[in-house]
Amino acid sequence: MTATHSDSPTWLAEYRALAQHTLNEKSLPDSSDRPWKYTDITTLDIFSLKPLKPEDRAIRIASCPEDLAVRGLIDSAHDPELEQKIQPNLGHLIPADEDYLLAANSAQWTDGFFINPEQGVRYTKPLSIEIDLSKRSATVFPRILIVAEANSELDLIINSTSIEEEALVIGALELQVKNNARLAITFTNNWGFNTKEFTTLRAELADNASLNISTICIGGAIVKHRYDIHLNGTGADSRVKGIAVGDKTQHFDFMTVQEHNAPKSSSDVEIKTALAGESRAVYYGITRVTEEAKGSQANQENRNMLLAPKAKADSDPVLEILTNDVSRCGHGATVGPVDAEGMFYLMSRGLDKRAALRTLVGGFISPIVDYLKDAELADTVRATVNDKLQNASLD
Amino acid sequence: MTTVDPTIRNTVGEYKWGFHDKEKPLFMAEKGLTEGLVREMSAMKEEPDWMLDVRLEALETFYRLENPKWAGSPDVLDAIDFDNIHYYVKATDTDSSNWEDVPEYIKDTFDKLGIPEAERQFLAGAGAQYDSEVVYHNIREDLEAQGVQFLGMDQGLREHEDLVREHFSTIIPSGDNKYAALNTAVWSGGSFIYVPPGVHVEVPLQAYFRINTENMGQFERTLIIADEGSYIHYVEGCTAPTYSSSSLHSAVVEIIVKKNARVRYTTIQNWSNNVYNLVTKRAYAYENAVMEWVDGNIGSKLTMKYPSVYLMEPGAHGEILSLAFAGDQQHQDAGGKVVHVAPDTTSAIVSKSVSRGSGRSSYRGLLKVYEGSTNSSSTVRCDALLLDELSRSDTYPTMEVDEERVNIGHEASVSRLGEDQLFYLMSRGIDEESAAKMVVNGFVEPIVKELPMEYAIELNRLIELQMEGSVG
Repeated sequence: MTATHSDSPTWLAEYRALAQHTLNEKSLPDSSDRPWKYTDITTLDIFSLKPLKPEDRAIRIASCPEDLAVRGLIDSAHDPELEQKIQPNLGHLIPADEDYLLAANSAQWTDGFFINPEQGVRYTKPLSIEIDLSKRSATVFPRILIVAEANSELDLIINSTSIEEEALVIGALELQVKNNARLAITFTNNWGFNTKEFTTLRAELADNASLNISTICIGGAIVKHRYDIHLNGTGADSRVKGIAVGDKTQHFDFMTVQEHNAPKSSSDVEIKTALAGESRAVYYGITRVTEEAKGSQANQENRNMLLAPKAKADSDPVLEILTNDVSRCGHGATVGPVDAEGMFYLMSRGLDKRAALRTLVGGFISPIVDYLKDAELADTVRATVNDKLQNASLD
Repeated sequence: MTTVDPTIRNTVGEYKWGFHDKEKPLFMAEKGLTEGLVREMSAMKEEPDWMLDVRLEALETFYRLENPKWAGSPDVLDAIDFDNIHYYVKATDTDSSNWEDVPEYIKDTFDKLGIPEAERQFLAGAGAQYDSEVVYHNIREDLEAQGVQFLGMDQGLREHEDLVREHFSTIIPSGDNKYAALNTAVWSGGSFIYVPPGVHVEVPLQAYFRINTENMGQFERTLIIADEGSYIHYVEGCTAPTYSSSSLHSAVVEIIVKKNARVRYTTIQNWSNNVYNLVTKRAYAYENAVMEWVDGNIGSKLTMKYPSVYLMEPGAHGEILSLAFAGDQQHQDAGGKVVHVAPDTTSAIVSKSVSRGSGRSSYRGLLKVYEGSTNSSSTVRCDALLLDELSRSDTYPTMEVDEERVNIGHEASVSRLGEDQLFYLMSRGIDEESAAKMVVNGFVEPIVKELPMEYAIELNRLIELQMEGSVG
């Protein structure tokens, strides 16, 4: 059954109507809005392309653990039992009236999933979702709600591909990770060269909950991923690992917010980029340790390797520490060229310049690629990066 | 003569410089900022027409610009009531090079602050500003003979109009920010320094800034021109009485460091806790020039100050050492900015901050590398120490790198007063408070050691005062 606005439950219809209203009232953010300082989308027209229809099945499940039931979000909301879990959580972290792009997603999504790992169940096989825009130029609004019940464990992989013609993706994910639950999400983006993606992920972590996010950015014209993580439970733990390999005029923008609201919570961010051509990477991160978050630790690392004269990197890792009772809080950011000595060493061993460069970049991103749980996926990423660097513009 | 509001004393502890003189100033402008006031000031100072035009244009800019949105909390600057400030308070007619000519009560104040004493001990020259006007400037005769100019800014404008006109507002245009515009419109006092080519002023020049009047705005303007191959070290200190209502200090400092020259600018800011200290400081460093800011912020209610260096030509080097101590109810929003515009330029920023009680210290920086600044390198290192549960530390480093062949790094850490360090010291028989002071002194040591010795001692003493009662 395909649900539409009109037959949604009242609360959902109201949420979406308010989002539509926001969309009509507000305009796109500009550079005076700090998260958009370095990423200009003021000329974006989100309605210039046709929205995809549910029957296109642009967002589909590629593989699913046998014992995990995953259903469409709107379908799920019609099930009274599931509705009880959805209603308090959908729109809780993404209010309908906050922001233009989020409102666009909230008002317009047709493809969404409700994922509900059951209490105490450890799913050994990953859930794999594909966002496939390889058939036609279109706009899509992926929406995912995950309520990870206590002591559950799930790996989610989201693979994205698209055609070389224009495509636009405005995604939103809301995550509730309950006590002792463990959730890992891997985004691999192989967008075509004219795809723009703006995805916001927001999560609340309860006691000892853990969230691991890995992001591999290879394709796309502009890709902005924003993760807002609220560490609300004692001992909650979040890790964000991201790599971007850029070429031509590609633009990658990572924004992460780690809000420590509970004792002994920990967060770790590591974003590494290698930038060829005229590509550009932006990192803006805020780690806020509030008075309640005693004994917490936090780390942010942003490393940018510039492979070509016209590549650019902007980095702003912010710390706001409101208590002295922190076990360690720090951040680091670097921007620089490929290590000249390393290049010299490898080339003196007979590697040509490009092979030496591929080796060094491979080593640079390996801490993040090796961290991927899925060995096959890690191999694919290594191969893709290698291919990309083989053809990338270095001058 | 010494009047301190007891409620203030309780919140800020013993601020030794909180007294004020009750003498009536020679002239005090009505509160409020109008075109009439600007015209009157300019006329009283007998300024050339072009300066009046600069002021009036800046006033328009001030009205037009808004407070920065990125301030520590959104409404903190809105608390400044621009209609409730005396923009121009002239205590005396004299800007004398003879200490004996300074009126007795002002002399008393500066004696208490130790100004002539400091001069006698080790300075090459000293200046003193009281409210809006510079009351004293003197420089060693041998330096004067070499052509070193060290004057009050108003006198500088009168005697070196061409130099001032050539450089004034070129480093910091009045449209740079609202407070730079305000300063440009109503500036008064500050220092004018010119060091001729090749002249090395081996010992520091000092200027001392004192606010005396309640609800006073002090808007000194400093211009330093270090000609090719010269060297100068300029030191400034500041204090104000402790009143229950706020004063505003909004200075603009412009520095030009020409080829092969070196300028070091040291600030020990110890305003009382009712002063908003919103200052714009910027230097242009040309070929192989060196610009160093040593910026110590101990006092004020809110400081927003980010000394900047623009590295304009190859080989230029910029260095910023920033030390901030935020005690109860203080916010030290400090830091530094370096902009690399040319190849082979290098820079380093080291920031150390300590927060105590409800104090908040923020490092706010910018590191910008323009395309073409090949072989440039920069390191930024920020360390913060938090002394208790209420205190807060922020780090806002911004890095914008548009050039591949550079090496840029930023590292920061935030830590608490280490229990193991305290334990070690206390197990050696040192009481907790002394142990905490020792740890803090050790933490700020890399910056303090860059100061002239008298200032290093003074700064250590100020930090000890800030630490008073910090434990238990």
